[in-house]
Amino acid sequence: MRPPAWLVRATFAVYPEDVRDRYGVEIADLLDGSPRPWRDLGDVAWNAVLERVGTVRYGRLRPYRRQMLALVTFPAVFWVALLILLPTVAFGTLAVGGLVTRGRFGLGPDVSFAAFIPGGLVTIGFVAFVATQNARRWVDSLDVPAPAFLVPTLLGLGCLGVGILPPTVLPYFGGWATVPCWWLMVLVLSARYRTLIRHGRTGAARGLAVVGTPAVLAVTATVHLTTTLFPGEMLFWPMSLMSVLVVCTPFTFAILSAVTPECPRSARPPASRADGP
Amino acid sequence: MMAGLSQLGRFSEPGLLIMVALAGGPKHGYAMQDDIAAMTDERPGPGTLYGAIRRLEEQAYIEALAEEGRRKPYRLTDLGRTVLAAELQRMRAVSRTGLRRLATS
Repeated sequence: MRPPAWLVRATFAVYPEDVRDRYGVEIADLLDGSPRPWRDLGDVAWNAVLERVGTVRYGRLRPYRRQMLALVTFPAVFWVALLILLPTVAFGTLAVGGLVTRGRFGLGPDVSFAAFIPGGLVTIGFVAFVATQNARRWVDSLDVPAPAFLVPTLLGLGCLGVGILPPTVLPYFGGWATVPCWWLMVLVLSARYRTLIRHGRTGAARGLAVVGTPAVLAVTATVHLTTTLFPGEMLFWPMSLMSVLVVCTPFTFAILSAVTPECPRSARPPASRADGP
Repeated sequence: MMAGLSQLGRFSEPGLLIMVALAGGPKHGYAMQDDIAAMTDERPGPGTLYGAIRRLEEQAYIEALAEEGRRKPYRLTDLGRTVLAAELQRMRAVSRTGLRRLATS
């Protein structure tokens, strides 16, 4: 069985654009005729990541230290915002419920669940909305070279920093192993997203973000829950590392959208192979 | 001063094998893979092969020729020939010394 075309495309999307344009067709040709296509796809994926990493050199990054620090710090900012807002919303819901139902809607396992999960989702959605809306305003503070690689990488590092806090800080905050899974998926999507915007295909880019965000969350949530599952986990899901990753995913797309110059489709040469194989 | 292949880092070995493959004449990616597989019993993956090709081109040790369909042949440059000859001489000296010491120990 050969690797599916979407997986091959996703792998090629990780290559820096200049390398993909120069060698993409030739690499794809070798992959097409490979007697061991899965091994060779792994080889291509590994080298694509290394080429991508190779585009980021410290000397080039030096002037961007402040922006990079800001990106690493954002997950902690989101976490603090959620830590303040989530209990406020949950207890606010309980208080309003108690007032409206004259005390019948009070603390109890089912009621707490009902107050916490929907309230948590609304709060996470609110923080994600505020973050994405402001990404364009903060763009001067967040513009870094190779953003398709650096933005998810720095946000992922920030999430790792939050995720490895000692369990005494928040008992339900484990599952930091979820972050590499999130990073890998968002890295591939970011590279493709940026390429689509550059080529003037903003509609397709938006579609990718709309489909990609829940897909990333579904996969990372599955990994997170299988690595941290215990009875309290579902109730406290909104206070877990997942909620920070939920906010960081659309935030990544919002930053990339703001920092990527769009090239109208009509301005591109007709014979361009910039989309790669 | 000639820099040599060691500056290609992790691509120095695949780079050397590609240059040896091209020493017999221009070849495209497939032919290079086949030739390297015949030399080493290990077929390099496309990512590794083109990672090395990119670096060899950057150093002007090899150059691309006109495309033949989807395939693009590459050939050694004069600088590449000189670097390859020096590298093989160095390897021969190391190999001769090592084998002599093994035989006498």
